[in-house]
Amino acid sequence: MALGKKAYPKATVKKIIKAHSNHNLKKNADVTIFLNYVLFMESLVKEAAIQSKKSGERGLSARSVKKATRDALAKFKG
Amino acid sequence: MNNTTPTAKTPSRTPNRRLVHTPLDRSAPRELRNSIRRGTPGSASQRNAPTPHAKAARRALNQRRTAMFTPGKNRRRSLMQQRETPLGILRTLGKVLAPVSQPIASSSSSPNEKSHIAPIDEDDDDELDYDSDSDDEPINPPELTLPIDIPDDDSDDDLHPPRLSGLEDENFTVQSVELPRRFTNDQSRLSRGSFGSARVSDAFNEFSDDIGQQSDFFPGLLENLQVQPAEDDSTLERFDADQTRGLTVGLDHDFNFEIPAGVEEQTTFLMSEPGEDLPQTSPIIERSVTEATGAEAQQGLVGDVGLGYSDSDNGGPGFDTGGFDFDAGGIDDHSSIIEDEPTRVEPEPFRAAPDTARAKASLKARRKKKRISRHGIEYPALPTSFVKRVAQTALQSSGLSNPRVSADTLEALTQASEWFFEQLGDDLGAYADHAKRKTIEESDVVTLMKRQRQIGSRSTMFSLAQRHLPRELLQELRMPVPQPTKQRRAKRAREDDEEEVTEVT
Repeated sequence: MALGKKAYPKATVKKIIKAHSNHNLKKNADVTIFLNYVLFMESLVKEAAIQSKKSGERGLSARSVKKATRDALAKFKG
Repeated sequence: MNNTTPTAKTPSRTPNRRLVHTPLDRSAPRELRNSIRRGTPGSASQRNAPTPHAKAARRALNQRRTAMFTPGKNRRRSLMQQRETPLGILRTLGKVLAPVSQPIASSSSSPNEKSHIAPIDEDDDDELDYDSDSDDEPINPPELTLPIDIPDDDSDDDLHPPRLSGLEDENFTVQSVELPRRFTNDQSRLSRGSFGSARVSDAFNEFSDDIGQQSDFFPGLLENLQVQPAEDDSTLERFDADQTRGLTVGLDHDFNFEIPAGVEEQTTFLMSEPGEDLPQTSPIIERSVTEATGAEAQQGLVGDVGLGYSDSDNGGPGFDTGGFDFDAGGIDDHSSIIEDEPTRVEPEPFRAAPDTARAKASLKARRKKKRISRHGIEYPALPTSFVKRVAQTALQSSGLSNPRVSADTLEALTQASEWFFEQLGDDLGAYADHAKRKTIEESDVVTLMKRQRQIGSRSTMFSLAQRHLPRELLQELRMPVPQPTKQRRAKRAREDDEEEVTEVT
C-alpha cells in the first residue's frame, strides 16, 4: 500500500467533514475517517468488480460502480 | 460353586443344566473371579471356550454391541428402522385397512349421488333432515374429507367447522405468496438504514429517480418541489414511477441508467436547490428560475414535451460519459412518459431544459462551482486524483483483470465518495451531538465503525489500520503526538476552526 508522498489530502477531507457535520474535528479523528473511507472504497470497488465481472466487462465500468454505490453507502451508514 | 463345576467339566447341552444355570453372563465373571483367585487364567479360558451356548451368547452380545455402536451398519443390513418409523407403521396399517376405508375418497368426490355428504351441506336450513341423516350414517368421515376436496360447495353453505379449516389452509398459501412482497419492502427499508430515521437524506435510497435530481442537498429539493405550482402532481408522478419500476423488469434497467444521467445533471441542479432557500448562492437561483419558466412554457405545448425530452437524451451522450447507456435509458423513459403524460409533463422538461443549455459545461462547472453543505458551509470538491489513488489500491486487491480506472468510472467513484463523506459527516455529527460535544472525536469514528460492523470481535481499529493505511499514518494513529504540543496544536486548530465557522455562517 504505497500511496504517494502525500498520504491523503488531509485538509480537504477535514473541511468536507466539517462542512457536512457542522462540527470540528479532533486531531486523530481524521486519520480514522480516512481509514473508514479506504474501507468504504474497498468494499465499493469489490462489489463493483463483481458486478462488472458478472456482466462480462474486463475493467471496472462506471455502470457497475453506480450499481454498487447504493449498497455500499447503505452498508456504511452509521 | 457346585453348579458351576459340573458345567465346566462337562460342556453338554442337557436341559437340566440350562434350567439350573442362570445366563452365562453371570458364569463368566464368576469364573474370572475364580481364575484370579487361583492365579490360573489359562484354565478359565479353556473352560469357557468349549461351551457352544456361551459362544452363541457372546456372539449375540457382540452383535448387539456392534449394533449399538454402529447403527448405520445395522440399518443398512436390514430395513428395520425404516420399517419402524411412524410413517412406516401407518403405511402398514393403511395397507391392512385399505379395503375397509376405501369408500371415503369416492364419497367426497361425488357428493350429489349419495345422500352421504350432500344432505349435510345443503340441508343446513332444516336441521331435521340433517339429524336424520346423521342417525343413519356416520357423519364424521364426510366432515373431515369435505373441506379439502370440495371448496365450491362450502362457499354456498354455512357449515362452519369444515370451511374454517379450508380457509385456514388458503390463508397459509396466501401468506406464503405474500412473503416475497414484504421482503421487497424490507429491502427498501433496509437500504434506508432504520425505520425511524426519516431523514431527508435517506430519501435517495428509496427513489432512485431522486438521486438524479438531488445530490448534496436533499432538503433543498423537497422544498423546491413544494415551491412548484403542482406539487400534488409531482408526488403522484413519483409514486407512479415507483410502481412501474416494481412491476416491470425492463424498467429496472432504465432506472439504473437514469442514475448516471442524474449524476451529471445533479451537480448543476442540486446546487440550485439550496440556492432558493438559502440566500448565499446567487448564480444558481437565476438558473432555477429560468428552468421553471422553461418548464411552464413547455407545459403549454403538451405535444412538444416528448420532443423536448428526447433532446435532453441526445444531449446526454454529448455530455460526457457512457453514451450508449444514456440512449437506452432515454428510450425506455420515453415509453413510460408517453403512458402518463399529464402527470409527468412538468418535471421532465424541468430537468431537460437546463441540460441542453449547458450540457458540456456541466463537468467543468462542477469543479468550479461552490458546494455548500446543508449547514450552509462551503466545502471543497474531493480531488479526483485522491479518489483514483484509493480506488486503484482497492482495485489491486479485487483481482480484476484490467486494473485501469476509466474517466467515467472515476466520475462515478468520485460521486460515490462525495455521498459517502456527506453521510459520514452527518453520522459523525449526530454522534458528537449525542455526546453533547462540539467536536468530533476519534471515539465517534470508532462508534461509527462499530455500527458499520467494521470493528468487531474479529478486527480492531489497529488491525484495520495495519492492513489499509500507509505506515506514516499508522504511526500517527498509534502513537499520538506528545501531550503538551498536541494540546497546544489542537487548541490552536480548534480556534482556527471556530473562526472559520463563524466567518462562513
